Amino acid sequence: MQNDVKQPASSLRNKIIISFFMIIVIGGILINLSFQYVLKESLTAEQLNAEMIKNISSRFISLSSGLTILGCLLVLFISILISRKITDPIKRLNEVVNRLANGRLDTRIDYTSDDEIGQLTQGFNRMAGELEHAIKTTQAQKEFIEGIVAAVPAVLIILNDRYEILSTNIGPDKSHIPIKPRDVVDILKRELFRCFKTLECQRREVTLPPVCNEGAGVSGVDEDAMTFLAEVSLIDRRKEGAIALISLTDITTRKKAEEELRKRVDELERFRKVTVKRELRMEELRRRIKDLEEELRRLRG
Amino acid sequence: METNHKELVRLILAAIIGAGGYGIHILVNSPLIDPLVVSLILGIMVRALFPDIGDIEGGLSLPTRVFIPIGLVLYSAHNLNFTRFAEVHLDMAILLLLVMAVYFLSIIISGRVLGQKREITYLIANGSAICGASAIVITSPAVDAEPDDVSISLLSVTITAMTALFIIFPFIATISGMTDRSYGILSGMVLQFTGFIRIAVGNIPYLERVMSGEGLLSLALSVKAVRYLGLLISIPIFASMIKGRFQIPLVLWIFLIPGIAGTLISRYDEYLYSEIMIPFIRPVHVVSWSIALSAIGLNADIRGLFSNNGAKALIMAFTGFFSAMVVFFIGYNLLRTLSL
Repeated sequence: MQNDVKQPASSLRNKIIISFFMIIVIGGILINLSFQYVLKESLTAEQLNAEMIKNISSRFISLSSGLTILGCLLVLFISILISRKITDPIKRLNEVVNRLANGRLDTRIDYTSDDEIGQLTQGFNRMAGELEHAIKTTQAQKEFIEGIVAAVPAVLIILNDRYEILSTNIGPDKSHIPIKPRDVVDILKRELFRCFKTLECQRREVTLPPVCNEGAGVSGVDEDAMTFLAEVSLIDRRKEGAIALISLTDITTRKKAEEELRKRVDELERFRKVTVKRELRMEELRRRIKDLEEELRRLRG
Repeated sequence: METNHKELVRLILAAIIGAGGYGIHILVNSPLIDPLVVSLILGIMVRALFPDIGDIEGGLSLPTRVFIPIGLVLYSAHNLNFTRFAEVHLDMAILLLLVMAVYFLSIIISGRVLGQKREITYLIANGSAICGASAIVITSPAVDAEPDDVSISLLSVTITAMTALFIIFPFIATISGMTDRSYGILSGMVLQFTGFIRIAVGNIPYLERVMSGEGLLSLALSVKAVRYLGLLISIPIFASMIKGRFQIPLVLWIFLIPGIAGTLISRYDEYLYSEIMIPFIRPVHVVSWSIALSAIGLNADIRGLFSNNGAKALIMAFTGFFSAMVVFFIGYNLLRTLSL
C-alpha cells in the first residue's frame, strides 16, 4: 500500500509518556525533598544521637527514594499502556484514512468502544460509507453522462478561458473523426474570445484540413477535408474563470451536396444562356428573311 | 532594516532575561538554581507567550553569536585550570576516563539506535559526560546546532541530572552503604552540572563520614575539572563528524588559549588569579552565557521536548547516566578491592 503520509515529528504517545514521567519525577523530587527536610529538622529537634539519626534517615531515604523510583517505573509502565490504548486506534484510523485516500473505498475500522475514539471511529465508518456511496453514485452518473456524450453525433470540446481543454468526446468512440481538439481551439480563438467577452453564442463554419490523427487512435492521413458547423457557447462562469463548449456538427456531406447542386444550377444557367442566345439569333434571322421577302415582293410588284 | 530592528529587540530582550536569570540565581543563592537553565526556561516561557519574537531564519541569533564566545573565553580562564588536574590520583583519573568513555559511547550508540539527530546526540554526549549546560553551549556552534537542538539537549540533560541528584543518588548511596568520599567521587564523575555537584556534596545523606565537607567538595570539583578536558577531544571529533572532514573549530582555540593563560597566571600569581581575576570572571561569564541561553530559549520551542526527538533525547540522557553509574560502581569497587 502506498503511504503518502510522512512520519510525524512528534507523537501523541511520546507526549503522554513524557508528561506522565515529568509529573512523577518533579512530584517525586518535591515530596522527597520536603519529607527529608522535615525529617532532618524533626530528628535534630528531638536531639537524638547521630547514630540513631543516621539509621532513621537511611531507612527513610532508602524507602522514600526507592518508592519514588518504583513509582517512576510504575507510572512509566502505566503511561505506556494508557498511551497505547489511546494511540493504537488513532494509528489504525490513520492507516484506514490512508487506505481510503488511496482509493480503497470499502475500508472500515473494526473498533468498538463507548469513548470519544469509539465515537470518532463510528463517525469515520459512517463518513466512509457515505463517501463510498457518493463516489459510486457520481461514478455511475459520470459513466451515464459519458455514454450520452459518446452517443452525441457532434464533437464536443469543453475548455476554460485560458483555452485549456478540460474535456472532449473525441476519443476511441469517435476515432473516425480526423481532427485534433487543439487545432479546433486554435482555429476558433476569435469566436472563443468574443464568446468570453460578450457571453453570446458564436457560430462559424470551419473546414478542417486532413490531419495525421494518431492521437485519436487512427494512424495515417485522411484524404478529404471535413467541414463543421462550430458553435461556441459559454456554459459556466465563476470567479476563477469561465468554461465554454465548442460543439462541432459534421456538415461535410451537406456541404458536398450543396456544392453539387450549385454546379448543376450553374450548368443549367449556362445552357439556358446559350439556348436563349440562339433563339434570339434565330428570331433575328427570321426577321431578316421576312424583310428580304418583302423587299423581293416590292421589286416584282 | 526591519531585520536589524528585530535583532536589536531580541538582543535587548535576551539581555534582560539573561540578567534576570542570573539575578534569580543570586537572590535564591542555591546551586540548584543554575542561571543558565533558569535563563533558558525564562526564554522559552517568553517565546511561548509571544511566539512572534523568536523567528530567526536558520542558525543562531545575534546575542547567541556574540555572548557564547565572550562567555567561553572567561569560562575557560576560570575552569580549565590545568594545575587542578594534578589533584586527581591516577587510579581515579583512569576510572573517570572509563566513565566518560562509557557516557559518550552509550549516548552515541543509543542515538544511532533511536535514529536521533546527530547534533542532538553530540550535544547530549558532551552535556552529560563533561559539564552540562556549559558543554552544550560550547559544542553548539561547533556542530552547527539549531536552537531547538540546544534546548532539547539542555532540558533532557537537566531532567536527568535532577532525577539523579534528588532520587537516584540518595537511594543508591543509602542502600549500598557508601562513604561520603565515595559519594563525592560519584558526584564528580557522573553528575552533569557543576552546581549540582555542589548540592550533592553539600547535602550528603547520612553516610559514613571519612572526609571534611570542604575537602570533599574540593575532591568532587577536582574530579569534575578533569572532565572539562574531554571538550578538547570531543569538540574536534564531533565537529569533524558533522562536517565530514577533519576540523579543529575556532571554538576550541577560544576555549584552550584562555585556559592555558589562566593556568599560567594562577601558577605564577595565585593571589591575582583567585582573588582578583576569578571574582570578576565568574559572574561575567555566567551572565554572558545566561544571555546567550535566553536568546536560545527565545528561539526554541518547548514542544520540542515533547517531540520524538525530545523523547529520544530523554532516553539517551538516562541511558548514558545509568551506563556511567554501572561502570562507576564496577570500577570503583574493583579499585577498592585492589587497594585493599
